[in-house]
Amino acid sequence: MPLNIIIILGIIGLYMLACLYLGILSYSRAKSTVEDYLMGSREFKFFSLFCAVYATNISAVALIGGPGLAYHVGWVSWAYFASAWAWLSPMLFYTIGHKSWVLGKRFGVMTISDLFFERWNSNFLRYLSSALLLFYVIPYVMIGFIGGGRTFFGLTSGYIPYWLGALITMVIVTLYVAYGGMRGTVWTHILETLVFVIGATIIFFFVAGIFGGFASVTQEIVAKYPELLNRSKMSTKLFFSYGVIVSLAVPMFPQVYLRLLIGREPKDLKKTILLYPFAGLMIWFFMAYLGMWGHLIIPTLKGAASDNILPMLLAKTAPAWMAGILGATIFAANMSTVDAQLLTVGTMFTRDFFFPMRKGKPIEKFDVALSRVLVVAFSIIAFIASLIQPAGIIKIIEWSFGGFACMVIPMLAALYWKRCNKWGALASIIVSQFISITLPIGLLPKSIAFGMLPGIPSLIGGLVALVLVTCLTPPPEKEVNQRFFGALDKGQAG
Amino acid sequence: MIIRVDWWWWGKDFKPWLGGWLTWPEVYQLLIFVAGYLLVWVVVRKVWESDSESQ
Repeated sequence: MPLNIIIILGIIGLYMLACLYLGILSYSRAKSTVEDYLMGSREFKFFSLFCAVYATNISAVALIGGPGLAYHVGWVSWAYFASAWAWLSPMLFYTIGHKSWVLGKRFGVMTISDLFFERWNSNFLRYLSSALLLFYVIPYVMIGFIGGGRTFFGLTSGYIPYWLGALITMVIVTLYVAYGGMRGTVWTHILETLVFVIGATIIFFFVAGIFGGFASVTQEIVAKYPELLNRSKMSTKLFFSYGVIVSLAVPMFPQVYLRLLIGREPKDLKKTILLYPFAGLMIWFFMAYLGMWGHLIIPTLKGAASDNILPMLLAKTAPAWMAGILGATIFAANMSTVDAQLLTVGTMFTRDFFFPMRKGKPIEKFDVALSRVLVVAFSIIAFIASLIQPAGIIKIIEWSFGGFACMVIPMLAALYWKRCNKWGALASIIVSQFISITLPIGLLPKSIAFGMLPGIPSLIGGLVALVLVTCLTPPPEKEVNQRFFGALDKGQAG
Repeated sequence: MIIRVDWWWWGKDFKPWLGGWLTWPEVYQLLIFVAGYLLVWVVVRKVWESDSESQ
Protein backbone atom coordinates (compact mmCIF):
# COMPACT_ATOMS: atom_id res chain seq x y z
CA MET A 1 0.00 0.00 0.00
CA PRO A 2 1.49 3.40 -0.98
CA LEU A 3 2.57 5.82 1.74
CA ASN A 4 0.00 8.48 0.80
CA ILE A 5 -2.86 5.97 1.29
CA ILE A 6 -1.43 4.95 4.66
CA ILE A 7 -1.37 8.64 5.71
CA ILE A 8 -4.98 9.13 4.56
CA LEU A 9 -6.15 5.99 6.36
CA GLY A 10 -4.19 7.00 9.47
CA ILE A 11 -6.00 10.36 9.73
CA ILE A 12 -9.43 8.81 9.09
CA GLY A 13 -8.66 5.99 11.54
CA LEU A 14 -7.69 8.47 14.26
CA TYR A 15 -10.94 10.33 13.77
CA MET A 16 -13.01 7.14 13.93
CA LEU A 17 -11.24 5.88 17.03
CA ALA A 18 -11.92 9.23 18.71
CA CYS A 19 -15.64 8.83 17.94
CA LEU A 20 -15.61 5.33 19.35
CA TYR A 21 -13.79 6.50 22.48
CA LEU A 22 -16.32 9.29 23.09
CA GLY A 23 -19.25 6.94 22.59
CA ILE A 24 -17.89 4.41 25.05
CA LEU A 25 -16.83 7.13 27.49
CA SER A 26 -20.38 8.52 27.50
CA TYR A 27 -21.60 5.08 28.60
CA SER A 28 -19.96 5.67 31.99
CA ARG A 29 -22.36 8.61 32.53
CA ALA A 30 -25.46 6.67 31.50
CA LYS A 31 -28.44 5.96 33.74
CA SER A 32 -30.54 2.88 33.06
CA THR A 33 -33.61 4.78 31.90
CA VAL A 34 -35.20 5.13 28.49
CA GLU A 35 -35.31 8.90 28.95
CA ASP A 36 -31.56 8.96 29.49
CA TYR A 37 -30.65 6.52 26.71
CA LEU A 38 -32.90 8.06 24.04
CA MET A 39 -32.89 11.73 25.12
CA GLY A 40 -29.76 12.11 27.29
CA SER A 41 -32.10 13.21 30.14
CA ARG A 42 -32.72 16.45 28.13
CA GLU A 43 -29.80 18.12 29.88
CA PHE A 44 -27.69 19.49 27.04
CA LYS A 45 -26.45 23.05 27.21
CA PHE A 46 -26.01 25.46 24.31
CA PHE A 47 -22.82 24.27 22.61
CA SER A 48 -23.70 20.57 22.84
CA LEU A 49 -27.22 21.31 21.60
CA PHE A 50 -25.95 23.42 18.73
CA CYS A 51 -23.49 20.72 17.63
CA ALA A 52 -26.20 18.05 17.94
CA VAL A 53 -28.66 19.94 15.73
CA TYR A 54 -26.05 21.21 13.26
CA ALA A 55 -24.09 17.99 12.83
CA THR A 56 -27.30 15.99 12.47
CA ASN A 57 -28.46 18.30 9.71
CA ILE A 58 -25.19 18.59 7.78
CA SER A 59 -24.66 15.32 5.99
CA ALA A 60 -22.24 14.11 3.35
CA VAL A 61 -24.56 15.79 0.83
CA ALA A 62 -22.94 19.09 1.81
CA LEU A 63 -19.42 17.84 1.12
CA ILE A 64 -20.17 15.65 -1.89
CA GLY A 65 -23.44 16.81 -3.48
CA GLY A 66 -22.77 20.52 -2.82
CA PRO A 67 -19.46 20.74 -4.70
CA GLY A 68 -20.84 18.29 -7.28
CA LEU A 69 -23.74 20.59 -8.12
CA ALA A 70 -21.57 23.73 -8.06
CA TYR A 71 -19.24 22.09 -10.55
CA HIS A 72 -22.11 22.22 -13.10
CA VAL A 73 -24.14 25.29 -12.06
CA GLY A 74 -21.61 27.54 -10.30
CA TRP A 75 -21.82 29.60 -7.12
CA VAL A 76 -25.64 29.61 -7.14
CA SER A 77 -25.34 26.15 -5.61
CA TRP A 78 -24.81 27.66 -2.13
CA ALA A 79 -27.79 29.94 -2.57
CA TYR A 80 -29.84 26.99 -3.81
CA PHE A 81 -29.03 24.94 -0.74
CA ALA A 82 -28.67 27.56 1.95
CA SER A 83 -30.08 31.01 1.28
CA ALA A 84 -33.61 30.19 2.47
CA TRP A 85 -32.81 27.17 4.62
CA ALA A 86 -30.17 28.93 6.71
CA TRP A 87 -32.76 31.28 8.22
CA LEU A 88 -36.20 29.79 7.51
CA SER A 89 -35.42 26.49 9.23
CA PRO A 90 -34.17 28.26 12.38
CA MET A 91 -37.43 30.24 12.38
CA LEU A 92 -39.26 26.92 12.49
CA PHE A 93 -36.92 25.71 15.22
CA TYR A 94 -38.53 28.48 17.25
CA THR A 95 -42.17 28.17 16.11
CA ILE A 96 -42.16 24.36 16.31
CA GLY A 97 -39.10 23.47 18.37
CA HIS A 98 -39.69 25.64 21.41
CA LYS A 99 -43.32 24.57 21.92
CA SER A 100 -42.36 20.94 21.35
CA TRP A 101 -39.60 21.30 23.92
CA VAL A 102 -42.18 22.54 26.46
CA LEU A 103 -44.39 19.54 25.67
CA GLY A 104 -41.39 17.26 25.95
CA LYS A 105 -40.75 18.47 29.48
CA ARG A 106 -44.46 18.16 30.38
CA PHE A 107 -45.55 14.94 28.65
CA GLY A 108 -42.23 13.32 27.76
CA VAL A 109 -42.77 13.91 24.03
CA MET A 110 -39.88 12.44 22.01
CA THR A 111 -41.15 12.16 18.45
CA ILE A 112 -43.38 14.01 16.00
CA SER A 113 -45.99 11.25 16.28
CA ASP A 114 -45.85 11.51 20.07
CA LEU A 115 -46.87 15.13 19.80
CA PHE A 116 -49.72 14.30 17.40
CA PHE A 117 -51.00 11.77 19.92
CA GLU A 118 -50.90 14.25 22.80
CA ARG A 119 -52.73 16.81 20.68
CA TRP A 120 -55.44 14.65 19.12
CA ASN A 121 -55.53 11.53 21.30
CA SER A 122 -55.47 9.27 18.23
CA ASN A 123 -53.32 6.17 18.14
CA PHE A 124 -54.13 5.69 14.46
CA LEU A 125 -52.68 9.13 13.68
CA ARG A 126 -49.62 8.26 15.74
CA TYR A 127 -49.01 4.97 13.89
CA LEU A 128 -49.67 6.43 10.46
CA SER A 129 -47.42 9.47 10.86
CA SER A 130 -44.64 7.41 12.42
CA ALA A 131 -44.83 4.74 9.72
CA LEU A 132 -44.59 7.41 7.02
CA LEU A 133 -41.62 9.10 8.65
CA LEU A 134 -39.86 5.77 9.11
CA PHE A 135 -40.57 4.94 5.47
CA TYR A 136 -38.57 8.04 4.52
CA VAL A 137 -35.83 7.96 7.14
CA ILE A 138 -34.77 4.28 7.10
CA PRO A 139 -33.37 4.44 3.54
CA TYR A 140 -31.21 7.36 4.65
CA VAL A 141 -29.32 5.12 7.06
CA MET A 142 -28.50 2.90 4.10
CA ILE A 143 -27.33 5.94 2.12
CA GLY A 144 -24.98 6.81 4.98
CA PHE A 145 -23.29 3.42 4.77
CA ILE A 146 -23.12 3.66 0.97
CA GLY A 147 -21.41 7.05 1.42
CA GLY A 148 -18.92 5.49 3.84
CA GLY A 149 -18.11 2.65 1.45
CA ARG A 150 -17.65 4.92 -1.55
CA THR A 151 -15.53 7.46 0.35
CA PHE A 152 -13.15 4.76 1.60
CA PHE A 153 -12.95 3.29 -1.90
CA GLY A 154 -12.34 6.68 -3.54
CA LEU A 155 -9.79 8.02 -1.08
CA THR A 156 -7.74 4.81 -1.01
CA SER A 157 -7.91 4.26 -4.78
CA GLY A 158 -9.70 0.96 -4.22
CA TYR A 159 -7.32 -0.48 -1.59
CA ILE A 160 -10.30 -0.52 0.78
CA PRO A 161 -13.14 -2.17 -1.21
CA TYR A 162 -16.61 -0.69 -1.11
CA TRP A 163 -18.09 -3.42 1.09
CA LEU A 164 -15.30 -3.11 3.65
CA GLY A 165 -15.63 0.67 3.78
CA ALA A 166 -19.39 0.37 4.38
CA LEU A 167 -18.76 -2.31 7.03
CA ILE A 168 -16.18 -0.19 8.90
CA THR A 169 -18.58 2.77 8.90
CA MET A 170 -21.44 0.58 10.11
CA VAL A 171 -19.46 -1.07 12.91
CA ILE A 172 -18.04 2.19 14.32
CA VAL A 173 -21.37 4.05 14.20
CA THR A 174 -23.36 1.14 15.61
CA LEU A 175 -20.94 0.63 18.49
CA TYR A 176 -21.02 4.19 19.74
CA VAL A 177 -24.76 4.63 19.19
CA ALA A 178 -25.65 1.35 20.88
CA TYR A 179 -23.29 2.06 23.78
CA GLY A 180 -23.79 5.76 24.29
CA GLY A 181 -27.34 6.41 23.07
CA MET A 182 -28.22 10.09 22.78
CA ARG A 183 -25.35 11.19 25.03
CA GLY A 184 -22.88 9.22 22.96
CA THR A 185 -24.12 10.72 19.69
CA VAL A 186 -24.11 14.26 21.07
CA TRP A 187 -20.54 13.92 22.35
CA THR A 188 -19.41 12.62 18.97
CA HIS A 189 -21.39 15.42 17.28
CA ILE A 190 -19.24 17.96 19.10
CA LEU A 191 -16.13 16.32 17.68
CA GLU A 192 -17.73 15.89 14.25
CA THR A 193 -18.82 19.54 14.08
CA LEU A 194 -15.30 20.69 14.94
CA VAL A 195 -13.78 18.31 12.38
CA PHE A 196 -15.95 19.32 9.46
CA VAL A 197 -16.04 23.04 10.22
CA ILE A 198 -12.26 23.27 10.70
CA GLY A 199 -11.57 20.78 7.89
CA ALA A 200 -13.79 22.63 5.40
CA THR A 201 -12.20 25.96 6.31
CA ILE A 202 -8.66 24.63 5.85
CA ILE A 203 -9.52 23.08 2.48
CA PHE A 204 -11.32 26.23 1.26
CA PHE A 205 -8.39 28.57 1.92
CA PHE A 206 -5.83 26.02 0.77
CA VAL A 207 -7.50 25.59 -2.62
CA ALA A 208 -8.04 29.35 -3.00
CA GLY A 209 -4.31 29.73 -2.37
CA ILE A 210 -3.46 27.25 -5.12
CA PHE A 211 -5.26 29.49 -7.63
CA GLY A 212 -3.51 32.62 -6.36
CA GLY A 213 -6.43 33.99 -4.33
CA PHE A 214 -10.15 34.67 -4.74
CA ALA A 215 -9.85 37.43 -7.36
CA SER A 216 -7.45 35.44 -9.48
CA VAL A 217 -9.56 32.28 -9.56
CA THR A 218 -12.70 34.30 -10.33
CA GLN A 219 -10.95 35.99 -13.28
CA GLU A 220 -10.17 32.54 -14.66
CA ILE A 221 -13.82 31.52 -14.27
CA VAL A 222 -14.97 34.71 -16.05
CA ALA A 223 -12.63 33.95 -18.94
CA LYS A 224 -13.35 30.23 -19.33
CA TYR A 225 -16.75 29.41 -17.77
CA PRO A 226 -18.86 32.59 -17.41
CA GLU A 227 -22.01 30.45 -17.15
CA LEU A 228 -20.85 29.40 -13.67
CA LEU A 229 -21.22 32.99 -12.49
CA ASN A 230 -24.49 34.07 -14.12
CA ARG A 231 -26.90 31.40 -12.76
CA SER A 232 -28.08 30.46 -16.25
CA LYS A 233 -27.72 26.76 -15.40
CA MET A 234 -30.32 26.92 -12.61
CA SER A 235 -34.04 27.44 -13.24
CA THR A 236 -35.69 30.02 -11.01
CA LYS A 237 -38.68 27.72 -10.35
CA LEU A 238 -36.42 24.92 -9.16
CA PHE A 239 -34.41 27.38 -7.08
CA PHE A 240 -37.49 28.79 -5.36
CA SER A 241 -39.28 25.49 -4.75
CA TYR A 242 -36.16 23.74 -3.44
CA GLY A 243 -35.55 26.57 -0.97
CA VAL A 244 -39.08 26.28 0.40
CA ILE A 245 -39.15 22.48 0.54
CA VAL A 246 -35.77 22.07 2.22
CA SER A 247 -36.45 24.80 4.75
CA LEU A 248 -39.75 23.21 5.77
CA ALA A 249 -38.38 19.66 5.67
CA VAL A 250 -35.41 20.18 8.00
CA PRO A 251 -37.35 20.64 11.28
CA MET A 252 -39.50 17.66 10.27
CA PHE A 253 -36.54 15.33 9.82
CA PRO A 254 -37.29 13.06 12.80
CA GLN A 255 -33.63 13.09 13.85
CA VAL A 256 -33.47 16.92 13.83
CA TYR A 257 -36.86 17.35 15.54
CA LEU A 258 -35.83 14.98 18.30
CA ARG A 259 -32.69 17.01 18.96
CA LEU A 260 -34.68 20.21 19.34
CA LEU A 261 -36.14 18.62 22.47
CA ILE A 262 -32.94 17.74 24.32
CA GLY A 263 -31.84 21.20 25.50
CA ARG A 264 -31.74 21.93 29.20
CA GLU A 265 -33.39 25.37 29.02
CA PRO A 266 -35.04 27.59 26.38
CA LYS A 267 -31.98 29.85 26.30
CA ASP A 268 -29.93 26.93 24.94
CA LEU A 269 -32.27 26.61 21.96
CA LYS A 270 -32.28 30.40 21.49
CA LYS A 271 -28.50 30.55 21.22
CA THR A 272 -28.52 27.55 18.89
CA ILE A 273 -31.00 29.29 16.59
CA LEU A 274 -28.87 32.43 16.50
CA LEU A 275 -25.65 30.60 15.60
CA TYR A 276 -27.14 28.05 13.24
CA PRO A 277 -27.70 30.29 10.16
CA PHE A 278 -24.04 31.36 10.01
CA ALA A 279 -22.73 27.84 10.46
CA GLY A 280 -25.17 26.57 7.82
CA LEU A 281 -24.27 29.23 5.31
CA MET A 282 -20.54 28.77 5.86
CA ILE A 283 -20.40 25.10 4.94
CA TRP A 284 -22.47 25.46 1.73
CA PHE A 285 -20.62 28.63 0.75
CA PHE A 286 -17.21 26.96 1.01
CA MET A 287 -18.35 23.82 -0.78
CA ALA A 288 -19.97 25.72 -3.66
CA TYR A 289 -16.84 27.70 -4.48
CA LEU A 290 -14.62 24.64 -4.15
CA GLY A 291 -16.83 22.76 -6.63
CA MET A 292 -16.89 25.69 -9.05
CA TRP A 293 -13.12 26.24 -8.87
CA GLY A 294 -12.60 22.52 -9.41
CA HIS A 295 -14.02 22.95 -12.91
CA LEU A 296 -10.85 24.84 -13.86
CA ILE A 297 -8.52 21.93 -13.04
CA ILE A 298 -10.75 18.99 -13.98
CA PRO A 299 -13.12 20.28 -16.67
CA THR A 300 -14.50 17.07 -18.20
CA LEU A 301 -16.74 15.51 -15.54
CA LYS A 302 -20.28 14.64 -16.62
CA GLY A 303 -23.42 14.19 -14.51
CA ALA A 304 -23.02 12.61 -11.08
CA ALA A 305 -19.28 12.06 -11.67
CA SER A 306 -18.85 15.64 -10.42
CA ASP A 307 -19.75 14.41 -6.90
CA ASN A 308 -16.11 13.31 -6.69
CA ILE A 309 -14.73 16.71 -7.61
CA LEU A 310 -13.40 17.53 -4.14
CA PRO A 311 -11.36 14.31 -3.61
CA MET A 312 -10.15 14.52 -7.22
CA LEU A 313 -9.18 18.17 -6.87
CA LEU A 314 -7.19 17.49 -3.71
CA ALA A 315 -5.60 14.38 -5.18
CA LYS A 316 -4.25 16.55 -8.03
CA THR A 317 -3.20 19.57 -6.03
CA ALA A 318 -2.66 18.74 -2.37
CA PRO A 319 -0.39 16.59 -0.19
CA ALA A 320 -1.71 13.32 1.27
CA TRP A 321 -2.37 14.80 4.71
CA MET A 322 -4.81 17.24 3.12
CA ALA A 323 -6.69 14.37 1.48
CA GLY A 324 -6.72 12.73 4.91
CA ILE A 325 -8.33 15.87 6.39
CA LEU A 326 -10.89 15.82 3.59
CA GLY A 327 -11.61 12.15 4.30
CA ALA A 328 -12.12 12.81 8.02
CA THR A 329 -14.29 15.83 7.15
CA ILE A 330 -16.52 13.81 4.83
CA PHE A 331 -16.81 10.99 7.37
CA ALA A 332 -17.62 13.48 10.14
CA ALA A 333 -20.49 14.93 8.09
CA ASN A 334 -21.70 11.49 7.05
CA MET A 335 -21.47 9.72 10.40
CA SER A 336 -23.02 12.60 12.34
CA THR A 337 -26.21 12.19 10.33
CA VAL A 338 -26.24 8.39 10.19
CA ASP A 339 -25.78 7.98 13.93
CA ALA A 340 -28.60 10.44 14.64
CA GLN A 341 -30.89 8.66 12.17
CA LEU A 342 -30.07 5.27 13.59
CA LEU A 343 -30.87 6.30 17.15
CA THR A 344 -34.02 8.07 15.95
CA VAL A 345 -35.28 4.98 14.13
CA GLY A 346 -34.82 3.01 17.36
CA THR A 347 -36.59 5.76 19.32
CA MET A 348 -39.54 5.85 16.93
CA PHE A 349 -40.04 2.09 17.02
CA THR A 350 -39.94 1.88 20.80
CA ARG A 351 -41.82 5.10 21.49
CA ASP A 352 -44.41 5.15 18.68
CA PHE A 353 -45.14 1.43 18.30
CA PHE A 354 -43.83 -0.72 21.14
CA PHE A 355 -44.81 1.43 24.14
CA PRO A 356 -48.42 2.16 23.05
CA MET A 357 -49.04 -1.50 22.17
CA ARG A 358 -47.49 -2.94 25.30
CA LYS A 359 -49.68 -3.98 28.17
CA GLY A 360 -48.35 -3.79 31.71
CA LYS A 361 -45.86 -1.53 33.46
CA PRO A 362 -42.68 -0.31 31.79
CA ILE A 363 -39.44 -1.99 32.87
CA GLU A 364 -36.69 0.58 32.33
CA LYS A 365 -33.77 -1.83 31.98
CA PHE A 366 -35.65 -3.98 29.51
CA ASP A 367 -36.70 -0.94 27.47
CA VAL A 368 -33.14 0.37 27.27
CA ALA A 369 -31.91 -3.08 26.20
CA LEU A 370 -34.67 -3.24 23.59
CA SER A 371 -33.69 0.17 22.22
CA ARG A 372 -30.08 -1.02 21.91
CA VAL A 373 -31.11 -4.21 20.16
CA LEU A 374 -33.24 -2.21 17.72
CA VAL A 375 -30.32 0.11 16.92
CA VAL A 376 -28.09 -2.89 16.14
CA ALA A 377 -30.82 -4.67 14.15
CA PHE A 378 -31.62 -1.64 11.96
CA SER A 379 -27.95 -1.00 11.42
CA ILE A 380 -27.41 -4.55 10.14
CA ILE A 381 -30.47 -4.32 7.87
CA ALA A 382 -29.28 -0.97 6.48
CA PHE A 383 -25.79 -2.40 5.92
CA ILE A 384 -27.15 -5.37 3.96
CA ALA A 385 -29.31 -2.98 1.93
CA SER A 386 -26.24 -0.85 1.24
CA LEU A 387 -24.57 -3.88 -0.36
CA ILE A 388 -27.60 -4.65 -2.54
CA GLN A 389 -28.61 -1.00 -3.17
CA PRO A 390 -32.18 -1.74 -4.32
CA ALA A 391 -33.46 0.79 -6.86
CA GLY A 392 -36.79 1.16 -5.03
CA ILE A 393 -35.06 2.45 -1.92
CA ILE A 394 -33.15 5.06 -3.90
CA LYS A 395 -36.52 6.25 -5.26
CA ILE A 396 -37.85 6.76 -1.73
CA ILE A 397 -34.95 9.14 -1.02
CA GLU A 398 -36.10 11.29 -3.95
CA TRP A 399 -39.60 11.57 -2.47
CA SER A 400 -38.49 12.08 1.08
CA PHE A 401 -37.82 15.84 1.17
CA GLY A 402 -41.34 16.64 -0.03
CA GLY A 403 -42.71 13.99 2.33
CA PHE A 404 -40.97 15.50 5.35
CA ALA A 405 -41.90 19.06 4.36
CA CYS A 406 -45.62 18.18 4.17
CA MET A 407 -45.59 17.11 7.83
CA VAL A 408 -45.02 20.73 8.80
CA ILE A 409 -48.70 21.51 8.08
CA PRO A 410 -50.27 19.18 10.68
CA MET A 411 -47.44 20.11 13.05
CA LEU A 412 -48.16 23.85 12.85
CA ALA A 413 -51.90 23.14 13.09
CA ALA A 414 -51.30 21.00 16.19
CA LEU A 415 -49.42 23.79 17.92
CA TYR A 416 -51.32 26.88 16.78
CA TRP A 417 -54.86 26.03 15.59
CA LYS A 418 -57.05 24.96 18.50
CA ARG A 419 -60.03 24.20 16.26
CA CYS A 420 -58.05 21.73 14.15
CA ASN A 421 -59.12 18.12 14.76
CA LYS A 422 -57.64 14.70 14.08
CA TRP A 423 -59.68 14.30 10.87
CA GLY A 424 -58.18 17.44 9.42
CA ALA A 425 -54.67 16.33 10.37
CA LEU A 426 -55.30 12.88 8.94
CA ALA A 427 -56.67 14.29 5.68
CA SER A 428 -53.70 16.63 5.37
CA ILE A 429 -51.20 13.79 5.82
CA ILE A 430 -52.98 11.45 3.39
CA VAL A 431 -53.56 14.04 0.65
CA SER A 432 -50.10 15.63 0.82
CA GLN A 433 -48.24 12.32 0.97
CA PHE A 434 -50.35 10.93 -1.87
CA ILE A 435 -49.45 13.88 -4.11
CA SER A 436 -45.82 13.80 -2.99
CA ILE A 437 -45.42 10.13 -3.98
CA THR A 438 -47.69 9.84 -7.03
CA LEU A 439 -46.60 13.01 -8.82
CA PRO A 440 -42.96 11.97 -9.40
CA ILE A 441 -43.99 8.52 -10.68
CA GLY A 442 -46.51 9.94 -13.14
CA LEU A 443 -49.83 8.87 -11.56
CA LEU A 444 -50.76 12.55 -11.40
CA PRO A 445 -49.99 14.94 -14.31
CA LYS A 446 -46.68 16.72 -13.79
CA SER A 447 -48.24 19.92 -15.12
CA ILE A 448 -49.91 20.57 -11.74
CA ALA A 449 -46.46 21.29 -10.30
CA PHE A 450 -45.93 24.23 -12.76
CA GLY A 451 -42.28 23.27 -13.17
CA MET A 452 -41.63 23.27 -9.43
CA LEU A 453 -40.73 20.36 -7.18
CA PRO A 454 -43.65 17.97 -6.33
CA GLY A 455 -43.42 19.10 -2.71
CA ILE A 456 -45.05 22.46 -3.55
CA PRO A 457 -48.40 21.07 -4.85
CA SER A 458 -48.24 18.49 -2.04
CA LEU A 459 -47.97 21.27 0.54
CA ILE A 460 -50.86 23.18 -1.04
CA GLY A 461 -52.99 20.01 -1.22
CA GLY A 462 -52.21 19.18 2.40
CA LEU A 463 -53.13 22.66 3.57
CA VAL A 464 -56.43 22.72 1.67
CA ALA A 465 -57.35 19.25 3.00
CA LEU A 466 -56.50 20.26 6.57
CA VAL A 467 -58.67 23.39 6.50
CA LEU A 468 -61.60 21.86 4.60
CA VAL A 469 -61.90 18.66 6.61
CA THR A 470 -61.39 20.43 9.93
CA CYS A 471 -64.18 22.89 9.14
CA LEU A 472 -66.55 20.13 8.00
CA THR A 473 -66.07 17.90 11.06
CA PRO A 474 -66.70 18.46 14.79
CA PRO A 475 -64.09 20.29 16.92
CA PRO A 476 -61.62 18.25 18.98
CA GLU A 477 -62.42 17.01 22.49
CA LYS A 478 -62.40 19.92 24.91
CA GLU A 479 -60.52 18.14 27.71
CA VAL A 480 -57.73 16.98 25.39
CA ASN A 481 -57.35 20.50 24.00
CA GLN A 482 -57.31 22.05 27.46
CA ARG A 483 -54.70 19.60 28.68
CA PHE A 484 -52.48 20.21 25.63
CA PHE A 485 -52.71 24.00 25.38
CA GLY A 486 -52.77 24.39 29.15
CA ALA A 487 -49.42 22.62 29.34
CA LEU A 488 -48.08 24.85 26.57
CA ASP A 489 -49.19 28.06 28.29
CA LYS A 490 -47.82 26.94 31.64
CA GLY A 491 -44.55 25.72 30.16
CA GLN A 492 -43.89 28.88 28.19
CA ALA A 493 -44.67 31.06 31.18
CA GLY A 494 -42.24 29.00 33.23
CA MET B 1 -41.11 38.27 4.23
CA ILE B 2 -38.09 39.06 2.19
CA ILE B 3 -38.99 39.90 -1.37
CA ARG B 4 -36.66 38.83 -4.11
CA VAL B 5 -36.22 41.43 -6.82
CA ASP B 6 -33.39 39.81 -8.71
CA TRP B 7 -35.34 37.58 -11.10
CA TRP B 8 -34.81 39.96 -14.00
CA TRP B 9 -31.04 39.71 -13.91
CA TRP B 10 -31.05 35.94 -13.47
CA GLY B 11 -28.80 34.48 -16.19
CA LYS B 12 -27.16 37.81 -17.08
CA ASP B 13 -23.40 38.31 -16.91
CA PHE B 14 -21.91 40.50 -14.20
CA LYS B 15 -18.26 41.28 -13.61
CA PRO B 16 -16.70 40.45 -10.24
CA TRP B 17 -17.15 43.48 -8.04
CA LEU B 18 -16.46 42.94 -4.35
CA GLY B 19 -12.73 42.32 -3.84
CA GLY B 20 -12.48 41.27 -7.48
CA TRP B 21 -14.24 38.08 -6.38
CA LEU B 22 -17.99 38.38 -5.84
CA THR B 23 -20.43 39.62 -8.48
CA TRP B 24 -23.40 41.82 -7.61
CA PRO B 25 -25.90 38.89 -7.64
CA GLU B 26 -23.68 37.05 -5.16
CA VAL B 27 -23.57 40.09 -2.90
CA TYR B 28 -27.33 40.51 -3.26
CA GLN B 29 -27.81 36.87 -2.29
CA LEU B 30 -25.68 37.44 0.81
CA LEU B 31 -27.81 40.49 1.65
CA ILE B 32 -30.92 38.31 1.46
CA PHE B 33 -29.27 36.02 3.96
CA VAL B 34 -28.47 38.99 6.23
CA ALA B 35 -32.10 40.17 6.04
CA GLY B 36 -33.29 36.64 6.84
CA TYR B 37 -30.90 36.51 9.76
CA LEU B 38 -32.19 39.82 11.11
CA LEU B 39 -35.67 38.32 11.04
CA VAL B 40 -34.43 35.33 13.05
CA TRP B 41 -32.71 37.68 15.49
CA VAL B 42 -35.84 39.78 16.00
CA VAL B 43 -37.96 36.66 16.54
CA VAL B 44 -35.55 35.17 19.06
CA ARG B 45 -34.66 38.37 20.91
CA LYS B 46 -37.99 40.24 20.79
CA VAL B 47 -40.97 38.00 19.90
CA TRP B 48 -39.80 35.02 21.95
CA GLU B 49 -39.05 37.16 25.03
CA SER B 50 -42.40 38.98 24.92
CA ASP B 51 -44.15 35.70 24.16
CA SER B 52 -42.86 34.25 27.43
CA GLU B 53 -43.54 37.39 29.44
CA SER B 54 -47.15 37.69 28.24
CA GLN B 55 -48.09 34.18 29.42
